[in-house]
Amino acid sequence: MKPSRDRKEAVPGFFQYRHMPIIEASRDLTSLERFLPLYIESATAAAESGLASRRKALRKSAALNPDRFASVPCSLFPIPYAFALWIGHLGWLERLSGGVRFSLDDLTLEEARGLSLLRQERERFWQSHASCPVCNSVNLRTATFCGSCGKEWK
Amino acid sequence: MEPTFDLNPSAISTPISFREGGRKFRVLHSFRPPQFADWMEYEMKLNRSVEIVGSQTRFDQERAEAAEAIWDRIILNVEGYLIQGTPNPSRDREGAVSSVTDPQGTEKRSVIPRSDSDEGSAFSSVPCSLSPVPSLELPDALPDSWRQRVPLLHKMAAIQLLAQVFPSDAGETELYRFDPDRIEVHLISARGGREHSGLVHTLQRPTIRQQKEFSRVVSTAFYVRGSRTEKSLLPSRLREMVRFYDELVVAVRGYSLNGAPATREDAIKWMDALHKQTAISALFSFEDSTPEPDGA
Repeated sequence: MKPSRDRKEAVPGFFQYRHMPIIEASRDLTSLERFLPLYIESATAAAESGLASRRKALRKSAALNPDRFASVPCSLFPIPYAFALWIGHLGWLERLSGGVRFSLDDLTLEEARGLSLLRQERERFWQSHASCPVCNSVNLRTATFCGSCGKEWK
Repeated sequence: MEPTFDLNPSAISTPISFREGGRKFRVLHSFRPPQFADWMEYEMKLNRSVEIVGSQTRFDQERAEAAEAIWDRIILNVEGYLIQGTPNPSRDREGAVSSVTDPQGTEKRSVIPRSDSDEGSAFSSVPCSLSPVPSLELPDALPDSWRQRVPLLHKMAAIQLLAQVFPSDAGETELYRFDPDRIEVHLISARGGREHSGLVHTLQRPTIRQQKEFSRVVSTAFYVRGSRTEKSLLPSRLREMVRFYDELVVAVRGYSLNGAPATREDAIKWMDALHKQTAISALFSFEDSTPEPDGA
């Protein structure tokens, strides 16, 4: 496994924030564990499933100012940009691993740990969610019908 | 034929047009070509950060401080900043003697050509014809402190012009002339008030390893734990981008060095770091975010 680079010297304004700890997002596993589920939830919501679209349409119809409602970006779970970038990289590595073989030696320590956390969190997500066999929308496993196409499940 | 982009000119003249007090002016800033260390200083001073304010993501950078830092490093001269001298009755056929006292108390004297004379720069001749008081160029009037006297907004405008380089946007979908080993990246840049659009970088097609390294570099950022706005700090990626470029460049077109077309070695040694960075970013960005029109 490759040693991590020390990029501390490259931090802009590092000493400006020394009263608060600054850490490279890839190395902050505690925060990564905290933000990964939010990221996955956000990614699912951003995919604009039928259920999300319907909820949005309902909220818009009830809004006092529908134009303003449409112009305000809807960010359900704001994630620090540093983690959004890093999780995006981990997701890209995960996709890459489906088509290209690479060993642990090709990854940095942070990438290996991050990928492992991403896979765990994704497993956890799919334990509580399922995709509709008809329209492929993501629903809670406890749901009795698909929020997108309305298909009833047993 | 379009002029080539000189990689190592003796000076880069950057004209700036602006309005002040409802009137229109034009000045000229001359720079030496910025080196990698100059752009690094600029990037470090930018202090890029991203915060979450309400439900919005706010991107921040200290452009003024960064622009001033690099401007101070590379400026050679400014023209068009005319300091009015004290009226002197000894105007003769040759011109007028102007005197200005700088903050150190040193009196500066200069002969200003008559307004109907062909001598002098285009900048000094215009205001001289409007004002009865002869004028001196700022660097002549205040040789020790002229750099500090140039307004920050002018410095920012000049550096913004110097940093203008973009991937060219073809607009229309073209026939894909595929080369399994190489990719051409087309850039547009501005220099000296002129657009240079024929800038082509031929680069090796990046390997999976290089794509992985690139993704790693652009995904690295720092998190300020405990900040109320979930602040992230974005480090400069210029050093890594330049390294990628030097690894991957095969040839360039549209650039010259000492009057001859630039070679690969010239590009590695003399190419502006921002051109290298832009070429590498364009090389690695694969997906087109622009949707095709319906029915296309």
